[in-house]
Amino acid sequence: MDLIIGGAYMGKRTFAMGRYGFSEEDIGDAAVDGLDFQKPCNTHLEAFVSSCIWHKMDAVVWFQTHREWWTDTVLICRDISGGIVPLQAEDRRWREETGRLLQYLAGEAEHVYRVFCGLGVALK
Amino acid sequence: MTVFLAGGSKSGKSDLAQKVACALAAGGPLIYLATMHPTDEEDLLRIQRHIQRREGLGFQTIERERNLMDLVPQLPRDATVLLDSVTALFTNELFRPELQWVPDQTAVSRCREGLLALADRVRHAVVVSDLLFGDAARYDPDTECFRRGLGALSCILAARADTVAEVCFGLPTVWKGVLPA
Repeated sequence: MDLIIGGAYMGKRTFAMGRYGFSEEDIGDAAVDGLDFQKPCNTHLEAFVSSCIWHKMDAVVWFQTHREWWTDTVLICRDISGGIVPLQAEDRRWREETGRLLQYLAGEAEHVYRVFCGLGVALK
Repeated sequence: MTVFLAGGSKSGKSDLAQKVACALAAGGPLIYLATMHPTDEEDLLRIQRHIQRREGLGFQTIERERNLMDLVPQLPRDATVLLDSVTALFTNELFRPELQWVPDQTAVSRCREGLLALADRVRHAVVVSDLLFGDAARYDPDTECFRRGLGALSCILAARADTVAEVCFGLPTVWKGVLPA
């Protein structure tokens, strides 16, 4: 699995398309249809985390128990770790759970890229 | 060449941009393109501070809040232009009084055209923008529209630029090319 992280609107999806030759149809969007591991790439993992919290599920445990689904895919997630600690408890939870998932996935990933204004740097 | 510098609030990106522009101009014509539309005392003070910080560096200041496209053909081709900032320019294009502040859907393409024309026109362009893409806040639709547009413009500028750097309190991390000194 390769992991791509970066701020909102920083060109992560376009970077993945350039790096791996994906088309729009190859990329599942967790913010719209949920994760789709029929596809080689999924984006907006942070939205998946949000729905996990809603359904009282642990996103890390979910990924751990479904390894074979994502182990040969590319995952894209928005980095929401910056800024002020959110005022709302649910937003704090969302930020922390997303961070926890990204730590797990970064550990499992073969390559990790951080994308800045469309430019990627390999962290791993 | 074109240099794109992005950083957080008070990250020292403007000071660094001035240094880079002066180095690139090497004594040639130097233009400061000021884009902020002051709305209160705080803005006026901010502008005053920026003016003081570039005093004696040899910049000719041109104020242009929007419609960069109309200005670009008038700029001398041998000039080094420092545009500070894309954030303010895009704000002024997106939220216009004549549209009752409803986001103008043509703002991204208008800014893109103006910025790319600027990069093509002058000898050196140094372009400054803000980074506001890394937090977990949930914004109202208009603010989100602003973030999305500024993100798109940042990606477009980074693709066009010879040098891209992220500025953290005056210290650059170079993402692309070489930073002129």
